[in-house]
Amino acid sequence: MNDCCKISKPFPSVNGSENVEKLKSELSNALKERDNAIHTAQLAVANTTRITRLLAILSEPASIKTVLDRLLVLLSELFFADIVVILDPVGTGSFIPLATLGVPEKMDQCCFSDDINGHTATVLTTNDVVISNQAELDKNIDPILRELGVRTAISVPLTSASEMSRGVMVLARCTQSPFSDGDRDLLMTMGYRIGLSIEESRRSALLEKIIETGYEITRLSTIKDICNEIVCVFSSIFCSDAATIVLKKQRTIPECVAWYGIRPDQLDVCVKVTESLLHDHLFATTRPFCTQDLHDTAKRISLELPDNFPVRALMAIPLFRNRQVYGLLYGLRYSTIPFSQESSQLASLFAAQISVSIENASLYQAM
Amino acid sequence: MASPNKLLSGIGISTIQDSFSAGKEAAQKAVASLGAVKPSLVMVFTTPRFDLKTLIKGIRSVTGDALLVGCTSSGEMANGVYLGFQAGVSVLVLGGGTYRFGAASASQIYGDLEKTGQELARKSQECAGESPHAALLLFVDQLAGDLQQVINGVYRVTGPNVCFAGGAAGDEQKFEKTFVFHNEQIVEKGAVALWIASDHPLKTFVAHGWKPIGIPLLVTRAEGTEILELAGRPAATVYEEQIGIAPGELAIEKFWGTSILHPLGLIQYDGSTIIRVARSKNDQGTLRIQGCVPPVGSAVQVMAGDIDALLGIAENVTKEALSFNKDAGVLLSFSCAARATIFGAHAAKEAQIIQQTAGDIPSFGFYCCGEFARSAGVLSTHNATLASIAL
Repeated sequence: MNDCCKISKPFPSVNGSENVEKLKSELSNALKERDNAIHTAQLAVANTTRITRLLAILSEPASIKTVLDRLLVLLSELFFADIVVILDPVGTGSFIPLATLGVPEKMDQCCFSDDINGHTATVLTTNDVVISNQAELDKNIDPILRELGVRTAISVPLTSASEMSRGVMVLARCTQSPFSDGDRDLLMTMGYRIGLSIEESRRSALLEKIIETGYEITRLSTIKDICNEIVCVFSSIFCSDAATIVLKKQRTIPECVAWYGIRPDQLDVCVKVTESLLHDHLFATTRPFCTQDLHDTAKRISLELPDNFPVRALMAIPLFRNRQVYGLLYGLRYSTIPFSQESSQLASLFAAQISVSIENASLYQAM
Repeated sequence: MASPNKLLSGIGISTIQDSFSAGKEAAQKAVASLGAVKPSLVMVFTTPRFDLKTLIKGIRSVTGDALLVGCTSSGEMANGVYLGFQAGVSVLVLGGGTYRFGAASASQIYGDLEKTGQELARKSQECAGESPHAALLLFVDQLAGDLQQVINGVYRVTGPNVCFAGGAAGDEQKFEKTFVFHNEQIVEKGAVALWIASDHPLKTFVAHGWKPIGIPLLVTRAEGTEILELAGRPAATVYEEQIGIAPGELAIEKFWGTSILHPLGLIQYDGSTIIRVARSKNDQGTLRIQGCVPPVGSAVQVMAGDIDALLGIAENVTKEALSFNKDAGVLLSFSCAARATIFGAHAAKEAQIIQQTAGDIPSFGFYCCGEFARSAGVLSTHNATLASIAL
């Protein structure tokens, strides 16, 4: 007798109601086992299908807007999420969502809270997931989600290539249906992949804008016009609240030659900051200088800043002539949302273009 | 004693051959139930056999300029009566109550479904005005493609606190052309949305009664409204294997007769399934899905169900809908034309069960080719399913 025969049961005789009942019971058990097997198979494919569908969308050759729209629909479907929000504060400079699904149209341009205790800020700081399974009692849940009647929510970091949080993805349900540990793990993985996609797409968009602006600037013939144009464009490209250019003229103190989004009476502070940064040889190399909080940095380099100076996050990009720094181009934010590494790299590229334009204008004016 | 704010409803049907007379008769019967109350909404579901413009004229000769929405269908249900193919027209009128209604429609929507959904939601809401709660009824041409895109558009405007119901307009399963109605307009290749502004929450309930029989399969290739591959192989071959038929044995012309009994279940997050019906197969072995194709990477299972199981859910869905809104003046139900086909000689039974369960509350609805109901997340398009909402 082979092994197969050994484990098979003898077929029961059916000559009696007892045997019929037994047969029914066995059939019922077999059906239950089949249903269990199907359920197990369903669970086994569940994560595979979720990852496969995510990757299918992220690899589509479409604009970031289209990809994000599809992505939100997918996440909503895959996780039964009534609301999905993507925030990219590092890229956009604000807590206005980059994309939303389930936030009614009238609210989707509302700014999410930057409260330091809020889940969004916590995720950005810790680079870890925050789950809220009793959102109605959770003081740290975002007010917009509370207003929409959210009962459970999960906030997931969107990680950049440098493995820092660049943004947050929030999935929320209006039913008391908690997010599981499995959801958490899967969403962490997705957050990394989505973060990279957003970063790649932003880089492409920024490069495109920089090239476009480069052409525009070459048409301008005076340093003043060039600098005025640059501060407006720079602020828009890098999502800063303000931008300035401070140029160091030979043997004189630096001068703020163009500004955007900042009051003229605050320009002296920008000049002081420039002197300090240049004095501290922070631009001995070609690297830009970024800080998340200028007031903190000022204390470290013994620079006195007025308390009411609104700038917090700062990106200072050196402008070079003959390998010497002759000025700084600033992106300024009135919040502590930092500029990303990718922004400062691209800003350096932009600064190189600007330096050439300023040099050309200078030569043209000298003629 | 009924609350003075209670919604009043009246339902009328007509099987007269003449279009104007049929519309007029159905509307007169419906309006009679309202007494002195003026209709604030007229809903019409009808066989496409009528001259539709004349039919609507007949209805509006009675209801005047009251807001009218509706569509052609593949069978209607009215107060427990089932009107089969070619039978007639059913009219619902609503009056009194605290609801405020707003409607919007769009024609030639093919290729721009999400934007259509957004515009319909915006415009219909604007007409109805602000309210603490709301529902949106949507009737869309069944041939428009992936109808979930319309829902996606609507959802972007409404968010999660507005419930959806409705279904795809039909043509008695000819799959040639359908029409939606908005006041006196007969809209081809279009959609109409009805916004119901409410002072209390509204909710749609949904169930299908199908059980999985096959193993979970990944959709590995899909384009447009077709599934090309399941589990890396030609979709029709795999599908036929799952239902125990030798590949190729199921002739193209007989496909619908079998596939209607074995839809695909799109496996959800919690293990439940949303039904998708394969309408046809072609020589290349692809499956054409009705309304909303499971995207690449989705997991599906072949399903099966018998008449008892499929009818069995009608009572429960009705009970749930009515228990959610205990002061309801009407129950709206949207069942699938495929279900009616499966019920065959028992097709009238679903409408009867619904009305018996609803008791004194009038019931009204139609057989769609794609039902709309949102439970969780954005996915709200169903096939071979029953969805109900009590107003």
